[in-house]
Amino acid sequence: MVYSELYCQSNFSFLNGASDPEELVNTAAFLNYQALAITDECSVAGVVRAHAEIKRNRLPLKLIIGAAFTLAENFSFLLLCSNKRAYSELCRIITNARSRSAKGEYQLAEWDIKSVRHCIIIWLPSLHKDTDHHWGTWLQRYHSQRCWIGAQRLLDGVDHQRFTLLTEYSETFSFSLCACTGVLMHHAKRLPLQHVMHAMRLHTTVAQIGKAALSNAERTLRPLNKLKKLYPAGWLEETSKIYQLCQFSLDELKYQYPQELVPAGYTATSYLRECVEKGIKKRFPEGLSVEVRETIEKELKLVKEQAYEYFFLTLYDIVQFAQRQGILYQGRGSAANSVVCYCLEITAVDPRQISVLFERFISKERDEPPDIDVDFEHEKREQIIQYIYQKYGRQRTALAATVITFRFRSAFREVGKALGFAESQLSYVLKNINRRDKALPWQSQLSQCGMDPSQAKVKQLIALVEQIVGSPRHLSQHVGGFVISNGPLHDLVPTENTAMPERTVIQWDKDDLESLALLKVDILALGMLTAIQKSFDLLNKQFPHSVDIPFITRLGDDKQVYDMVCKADTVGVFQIESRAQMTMLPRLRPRCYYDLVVQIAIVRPGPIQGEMVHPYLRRRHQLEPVIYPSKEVESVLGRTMGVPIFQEQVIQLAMVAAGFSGGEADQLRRAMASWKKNGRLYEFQEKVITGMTKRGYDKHYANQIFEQIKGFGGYGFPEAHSASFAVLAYVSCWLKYYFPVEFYVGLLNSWPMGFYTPSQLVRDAQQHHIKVLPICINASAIAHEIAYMGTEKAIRLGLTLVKGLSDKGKQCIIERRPAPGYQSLAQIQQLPLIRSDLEALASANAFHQIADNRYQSRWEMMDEQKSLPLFTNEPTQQNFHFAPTSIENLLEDYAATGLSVEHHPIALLAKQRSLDRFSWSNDLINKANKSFVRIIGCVTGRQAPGTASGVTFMTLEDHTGNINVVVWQSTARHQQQPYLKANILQVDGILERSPEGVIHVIAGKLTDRSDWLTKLSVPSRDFH
Amino acid sequence: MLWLYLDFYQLTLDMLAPIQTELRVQPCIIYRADTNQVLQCNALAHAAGIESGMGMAQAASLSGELNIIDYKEQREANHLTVLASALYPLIGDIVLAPPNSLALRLDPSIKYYEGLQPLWQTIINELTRQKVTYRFATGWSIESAKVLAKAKTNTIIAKRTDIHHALQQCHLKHTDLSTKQITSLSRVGIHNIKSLLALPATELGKRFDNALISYLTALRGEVFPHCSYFHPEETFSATIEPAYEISQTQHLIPWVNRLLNQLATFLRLRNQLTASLTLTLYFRETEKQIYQVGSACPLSKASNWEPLFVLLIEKLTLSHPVTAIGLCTNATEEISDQSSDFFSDRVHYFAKMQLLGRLQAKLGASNICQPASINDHRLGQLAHTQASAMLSEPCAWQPLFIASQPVLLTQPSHIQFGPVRLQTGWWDGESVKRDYFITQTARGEYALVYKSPPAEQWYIEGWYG
Amino acid sequence: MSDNLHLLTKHPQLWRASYPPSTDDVTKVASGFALLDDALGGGWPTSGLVRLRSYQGIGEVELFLSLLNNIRHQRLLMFINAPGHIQAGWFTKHKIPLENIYALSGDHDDCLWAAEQCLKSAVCQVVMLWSTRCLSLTQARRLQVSAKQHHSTCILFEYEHVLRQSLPVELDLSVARAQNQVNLNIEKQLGGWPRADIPISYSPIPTNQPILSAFAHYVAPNAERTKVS
Repeated sequence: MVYSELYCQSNFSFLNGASDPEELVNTAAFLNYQALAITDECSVAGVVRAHAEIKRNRLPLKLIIGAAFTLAENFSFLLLCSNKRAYSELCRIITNARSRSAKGEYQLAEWDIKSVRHCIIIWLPSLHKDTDHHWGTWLQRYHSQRCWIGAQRLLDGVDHQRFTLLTEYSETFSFSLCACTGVLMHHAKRLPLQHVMHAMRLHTTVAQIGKAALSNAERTLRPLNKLKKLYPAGWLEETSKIYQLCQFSLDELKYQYPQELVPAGYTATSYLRECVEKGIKKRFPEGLSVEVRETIEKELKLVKEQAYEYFFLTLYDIVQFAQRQGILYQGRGSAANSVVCYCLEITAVDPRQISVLFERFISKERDEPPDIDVDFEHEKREQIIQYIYQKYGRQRTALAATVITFRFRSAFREVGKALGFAESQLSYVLKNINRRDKALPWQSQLSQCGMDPSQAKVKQLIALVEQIVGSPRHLSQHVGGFVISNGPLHDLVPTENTAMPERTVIQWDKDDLESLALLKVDILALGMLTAIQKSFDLLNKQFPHSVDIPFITRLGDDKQVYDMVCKADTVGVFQIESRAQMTMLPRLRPRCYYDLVVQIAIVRPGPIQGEMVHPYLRRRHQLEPVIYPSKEVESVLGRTMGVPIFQEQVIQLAMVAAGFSGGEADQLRRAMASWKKNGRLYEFQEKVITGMTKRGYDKHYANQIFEQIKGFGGYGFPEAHSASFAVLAYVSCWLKYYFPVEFYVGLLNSWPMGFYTPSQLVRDAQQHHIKVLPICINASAIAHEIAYMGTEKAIRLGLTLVKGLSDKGKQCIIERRPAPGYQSLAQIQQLPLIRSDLEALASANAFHQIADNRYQSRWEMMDEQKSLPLFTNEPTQQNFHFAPTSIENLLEDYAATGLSVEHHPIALLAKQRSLDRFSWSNDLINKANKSFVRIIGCVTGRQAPGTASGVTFMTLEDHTGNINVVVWQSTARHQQQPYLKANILQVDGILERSPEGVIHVIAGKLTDRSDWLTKLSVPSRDFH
Repeated sequence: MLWLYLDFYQLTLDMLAPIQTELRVQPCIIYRADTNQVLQCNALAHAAGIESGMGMAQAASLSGELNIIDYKEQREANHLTVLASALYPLIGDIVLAPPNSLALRLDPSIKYYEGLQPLWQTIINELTRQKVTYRFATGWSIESAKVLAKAKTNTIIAKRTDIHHALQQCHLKHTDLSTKQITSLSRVGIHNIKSLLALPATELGKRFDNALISYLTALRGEVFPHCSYFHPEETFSATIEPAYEISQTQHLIPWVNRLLNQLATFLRLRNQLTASLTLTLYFRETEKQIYQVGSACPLSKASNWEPLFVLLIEKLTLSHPVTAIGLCTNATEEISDQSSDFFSDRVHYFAKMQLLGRLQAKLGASNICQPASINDHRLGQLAHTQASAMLSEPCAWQPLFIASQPVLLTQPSHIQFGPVRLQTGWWDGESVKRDYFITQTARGEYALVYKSPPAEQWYIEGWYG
Repeated sequence: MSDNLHLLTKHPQLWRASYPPSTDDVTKVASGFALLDDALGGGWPTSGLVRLRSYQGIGEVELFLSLLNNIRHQRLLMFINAPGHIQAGWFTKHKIPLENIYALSGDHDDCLWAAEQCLKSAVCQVVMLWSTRCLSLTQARRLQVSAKQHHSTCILFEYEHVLRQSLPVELDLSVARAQNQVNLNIEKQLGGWPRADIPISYSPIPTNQPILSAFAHYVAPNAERTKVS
């Protein structure tokens, strides 16, 4: 007996289906169904995963593409794709339905269905006689040739009515009947999860759904012998007849690049060659060496074979637009290291510098399109997106989707609510579970938080949370992935609205696009590019010759810049400014560009977990000999001294050492990226070990390599991306060294970005002997600027720093500022400013040129009458006699602007109290290693990196610099109050200096000194 | 004028402590979910570093086994009225300041207690008997006393100058000023009342609204805003001591009638009705017995209550002679238009209510019910889940009668309908996995039967009447 | 035959053997089964005590469906000592409003007392009473009189195992079911002749018939539909 299930919903019918597309196709194949139709609610989001799963496991099951719809009350039906045209028709209908309503819903119009020409319709009557007759006649008039009636047998006590009515409809409208189930789960044990999802959808508990919930688990994939007993033979065979008519497969989707990029009279290849030639003149003014010309020819030949010309031309067009608008950009990714890209000015990485081979970027066997991300200034990225929409039209371009899945916290809370747990108890438990605790999984931490795991309800909660984590919750838009096609996009894939106005997203995510080899272009935003561009603008005002990234990279590695980096003086610099990087820089001591590439990739959870940092360190300082087990391994790991650091290296190792084919290596890469979710990586363990031992590598080395692959997990950083980031890191270091003032002003004006707050950036500038002038009503512009004190450059803080000052207020101050500046408070009160603006300015002491007592000036500003013209000449009575002390001034500075330019809280404390037994951050250097020290500072950062075993790092800032404090888990637990609550903290501990000179203080006694400076609120970056 | 302000800052904790013993042995906080604030914390919680006003995350991180009780304003207000009615016999002028404070006007009662200290002592005794913790202070107006109490002065000051001096030191955060006003004042260097009162009223008038100005005048004691005094709730409760002990039940009836008549006059005076009464019989040695008598609709006339009591008394057996009979109302309500319209089905409604009342008295309330419409697939499920208003499509195979206990099927019978598979109820421990069939016996009897796998035994669940 | 004698014969209480029972009598409610209606002289009596003897679960209550649908506005329907919990689903299926239906239970004497109270209260229109023991003559007499006086119907169900005893009732019936065919005997009726074996066909349950016939009919797939345009 042959049977095809025509009505099956995966968990891409959000909160209704309870099984993944992969689980459904595997079970259907196991029950030897002939075919399975994935018919999610007005969506084809799950079909590509099903298609990819069938291909991967070579299942003897055919996939039918379809979708379920409800047009009106009591009129539901399925649309199945018989051929390519039917598929385009289905995508068009879904796109129209989704575009008419908000995110997540859809609205069908009668016309949509009336115009169906190719799809097969399976009508699912609602058993309400009157509406069924109405729609039956409607279907008979328009779709008599392609309509079937889907009959379900659900053993829910209504089967006899179904059979009577459906046979009656079959006679009256002459539609033949076919069996179907309306599958919602792949196995009966998923029923509780389906009930919980149903409860979540109705925002109620499982018990309260009552009769509306499924009464049994019949809506699952059922074995053939059971189906034979439930359905008449004729209906079962009818399904395979319908299957014969549905021969469409996703492989038939062919993608065409947008044609208008190639001007008339050119072919794609010839136009690409011309652009490259133009680029060569620009990039290599002094002419081309033979060897570079040879690589260019090789690259162009490879591009021609793979027909990727349009890929480069699309990017070339976007990049040209960015140049015309003067927007700074940076291409990165596997293709970024090709000379062709450098000539097309897509990337700024001069390939001669890093001599990275080209074929790795388009490997013929892997046969997948090159993946290039282009970063733009984060404030100007929107212009690029609008350009793309305007050039290709909303019909032909859309964002790729990302599938938002259930995270642990939201899953635990929602499943708990559905099972009837009290909300306050759930939030209390969630607050007490430490997800970073590697030793104790969350399930066993429940008992500490008052949830007894032996209770049946709690066991159900644990089981259901484990099942639901990772399953899709809703579709959202990818951060920057654009899909551009030649014809209308909805011939290829349906699009739907996103939360943001006039932004559309396709129903497939980036993995789906990859498995169907469709092209995706990533347009991303990068804060550092804005900062660098602003610094360049400041420089270009002063120097005739324009400074830009190629200009700096052409200067080659600058010794003084690298000395600064090795001293870890990298606050504000791109990628290597974090605390962890600062402790690693003096150890690794990068001296050239490639060292920077390694530095960026090595301080990440992947390499740290894979224990690759220390071996690399030892080999770099020749403390350990570099040995390669074989020639092939040396060719791959040569440039990183035998230690795999980059994601590409791990994949090449698999190919070279374990004999993986190109395709298998790609599967390994995909598995590595998502191993956390579904553990597919273990399938490869056995293959890697046997592959390597067969080729003569010893078992221990093979195991070590696999551990390193597992350690990489999702964090492995591709070398190509690291190479592009290294360029920006070097440029920002170069600017910080040669033009610090422009560097700091650029950074401050592009905030919020990076690791440090404006207060810390200003502190760092002051430590570099740069004068920082406070906000002044007469001197400040809106943004921060360079001010000249005689010949010496200083930073003048801008009005943007004043909290609570409206944009209109800033505009008005600048425009109406008289030439000699404001002379009196009354003059300012005449300005059409709202009262809160005046008060904010007063508290920020912006009037310090006119009135020194900021309390007095704020008290004046609060007087409403003063701003009425009638009262201008009223003398100000002198009955207000409150003046701020120096500490109160400091507190007001922090409250009004978040930083203080004059003095540092600790400096004030030192003036107030005798702190002689304390040592400051700058004199820690001459303290002996292992000596006892007493330090005090404002807590500006608390970090508990997952890798360290329960150790927390705190950063204390005093008026001379930053101090890194290490707090062991036991010290933190015993002195929890000061550890968690302190603003100003005194630490008595042991100083530890590493051989490379990196200083840490191991905390012994913590004392909370916040009461010395009441009401000081120092912004702290905790537990990021 | 001399006002005493009592701030019961942990009223809920004090109220619950005698009932829930774990409050004394574990750190415990009263937590308000909507503002995510800890309101009250017991001694152990204070020791762990938790203060009121903290957020839940910080509190939870400071103490492991924290006991959390949700704050309910109504519960605290009820207990406040209990305290007020306890103090009422001692001092007549009480003003309620919900949710957890009382203001007592002392000066009129001082002459009855010959001085302030004796009066204050009696108040302290009553408060200690009620086992409540409090902060207190006195002032020339409720507002000033409140500020001093919030500032924890905890002393009785009578002289005006001392009050003025104490008031000067208090910080602005103890006053009733809004947080916005307090911050804008602190940003100009004004932190306590002394500096606030130093500013001329005209300057303040230009910068703040007049609500603040009127509050300040009240604080200075120049004007006294109107306040409404507290009067305890009246409920009817009377006990009668019959001339001789009653051993036969029917002799109780005349005394009960007298109480009913008293009740009727009490209710008629206040134009009220009551739906439930409590009859208490006192005995010489043994514990008194309490009976609840409810009627389906609120009544007032003795003649209506009398038959219900007669029915109740008939059922009684007196183990010991009754020495006294007490009667009190639980809740009274106003005569609303609904209960006094005079249309025809009003009479019918009344007759229906009377019939139901009589049946309930005789058969007992548990034996009268309406057809069970349960929003659950499991048929045997009793009506403990509330009947949902939404009546889903009735399924065609549902029988008229469901057996209270499934009955073993003994008659040989022939399947007419089915199977109907039921697999649900996994969430509340009564999970069900069974197939239902409708069968007919040789004698034509239709029954709903089920076979719960793995056992092969058939059970009857219901009949088709 | 003076005219008052003529008047006398019109009196509803008086019955002459030769008169056919009048069908338009207002005190009767058509039962919906033609044969039964003319045997009963128009249908179920709207007042008085009716006894029905049968096995349990043959659709005995559904027999009186027309009576239950005929309850006047706000009047109550009482189930006393029913064999199981009555289900709301059954009433909504037959479109009988739920708010006026009550079920009472208790021992034998309590139930009789309750039945009498309900009949006397003129608030209940139909009282259905199940009895496991046969009623005494006086008890039956009291029910019959109070039902008659207050224009309400009391239906007494005695299942077969209860020892039969003749009672002063308005209508005495016994019913037996074979498959979905029911045979009804009128043992005795006030103002009419007893009748035996009146065939009525109705069934209180759904059957599997539509499913079985579908299995028989759809053995092969629909032959002519092969191509889709």
